[in-house]
Amino acid sequence: MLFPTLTFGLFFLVVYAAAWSLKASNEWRKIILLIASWYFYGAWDTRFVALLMASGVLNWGAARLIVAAGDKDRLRKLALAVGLIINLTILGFFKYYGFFMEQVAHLLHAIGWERDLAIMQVVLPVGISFFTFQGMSYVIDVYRKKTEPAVLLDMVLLMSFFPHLVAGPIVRASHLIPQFRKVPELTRGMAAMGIALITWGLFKKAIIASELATGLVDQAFFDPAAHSSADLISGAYGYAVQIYCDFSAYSDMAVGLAALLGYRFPHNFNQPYRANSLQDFWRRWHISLSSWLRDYLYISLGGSRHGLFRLCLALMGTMLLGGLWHGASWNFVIWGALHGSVLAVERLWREFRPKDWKPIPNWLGILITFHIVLLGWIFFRAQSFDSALAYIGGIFTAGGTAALVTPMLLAMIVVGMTFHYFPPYTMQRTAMKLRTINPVLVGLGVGLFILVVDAMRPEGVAPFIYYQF
Amino acid sequence: MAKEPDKIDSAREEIANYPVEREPLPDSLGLTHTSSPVDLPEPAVPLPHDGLKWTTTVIVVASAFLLIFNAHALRAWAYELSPTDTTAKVVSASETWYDWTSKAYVNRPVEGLHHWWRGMMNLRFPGQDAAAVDVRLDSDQPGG
Repeated sequence: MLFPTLTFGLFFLVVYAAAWSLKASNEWRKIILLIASWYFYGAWDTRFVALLMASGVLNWGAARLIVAAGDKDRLRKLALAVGLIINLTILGFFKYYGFFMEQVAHLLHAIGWERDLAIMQVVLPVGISFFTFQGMSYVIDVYRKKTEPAVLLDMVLLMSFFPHLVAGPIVRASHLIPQFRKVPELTRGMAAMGIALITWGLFKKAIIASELATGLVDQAFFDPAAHSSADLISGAYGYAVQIYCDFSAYSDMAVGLAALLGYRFPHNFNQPYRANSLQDFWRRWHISLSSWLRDYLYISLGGSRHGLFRLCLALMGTMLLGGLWHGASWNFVIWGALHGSVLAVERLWREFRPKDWKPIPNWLGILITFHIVLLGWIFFRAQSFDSALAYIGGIFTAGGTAALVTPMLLAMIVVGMTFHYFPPYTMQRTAMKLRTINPVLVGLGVGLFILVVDAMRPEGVAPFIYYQF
Repeated sequence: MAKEPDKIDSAREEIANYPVEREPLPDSLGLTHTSSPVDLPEPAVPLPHDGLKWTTTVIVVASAFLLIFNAHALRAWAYELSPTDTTAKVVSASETWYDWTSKAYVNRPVEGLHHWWRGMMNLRFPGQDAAAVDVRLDSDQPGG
């Protein structure tokens, strides 16, 4: 069930009506939201609803064990280890089993083992990376005493809540569980912002991301050897805009839908392509993942507490694992290694830059950072390592004239980039105006906006890019 | 106040030292230090505490507007349902509704916009081969 579809719209209307008609009882309200979330998840594959339930219960159980251990440090650590092993086993089996077995098969062939390994085909549950990371952060936060242990219903709802279930943002227990403890209040401001985010997300996904995907990016990346340099260059820029408009649209809609149900989700994007360094980029792109990696991985790997060399290793290790989080593929490892190494170089440069050298101008920093990110996106999007190399090689050698990119697709790339140069808080300022307007007029405006988007968008709705993670 | 990295000696202290979630650009409206984009500052003149009523009105009006002016989408959705006796009735109802709205000419704006937009999307640079470019599926009507 995809957000920008009528099926989801009807589903949400029912959930909205049910949730707010039950506001007299917070427990029943949460039960309804939980059932709705399982129904939403089951629309992809009902078998995995049981996995989602089990994951919630197991994480709740691990946290209870940590609390029950009291001051006995060894027992607390043991319970933490059990919780983490459960999560990593679930993630490892569904996400990395096939990749791992393929590597083993390659290795065995290389050393002369001729027989084929029987490799089981494992179906990847949608959003598994997101909900296991949420479960892990809950268990670790309870261990670190950063969050209170939750009751079972709250914990399972935290992991299953449909707006963030399949593609984030990664909402931490310390952020959402306190909100679950009482019936939320829906203010005009929250609602106006929620509506603004949903409609803006719909525009970014249904028009910009979808048109760029079908008209340019998918074709350019499908067979790079068949396209001209101009098409490959525009395909790379197009993908940078597509993945931003696709993923930030999902986050916007998730935040907006949760707001209409009375819950506050965290920031996830902040005009990432105006970052003037890669460190700045990661403070603006997928903020909930980058802060997760920072708090639970980078810091655990030593962070900045053990000198510059360990810091660079921690950065590299974090980004490599961050790359693997996206999927079991060497391309994601290369993408992570690129980001990790550039982050380390930036850190070394800040440390050792000669004092009399001026910092590079902001515009140049933005330009360099964007093109490093762009290079990473080619590996991120390409089907294989060879395909990524063919794509990059084709940019410099293919020549020829543009056949794929059209005036409107080019305009969409430009428009997608201009979103990063809107004045800060444009959406919030819009919502602050919106909340003062008569709701009938706002309703007519929203209806008209959706009508225009629906008339303009290409046929069908492709899944969000981050659904595969 | 953030400490210098070399003066940090515990993981917990290092986590607290990072200001990432509170990072966004400063402004005069008080939007800087929010943990969620939906946290807006209170207006100078308080608004009525009728958020639920306000939101429900917006949703009902927008839904009614789309029901009237976007019957295409409803019909396309109905045809995508798995065929059963119940969904056959939904298809029939959506067809009837589509016919009514067609007779009232309220489908015209969205059809006109759809055709204009597809025309814009099919524009080519001078000398560009139109046949080589247009491989996208496209229907005569919006919503399929």
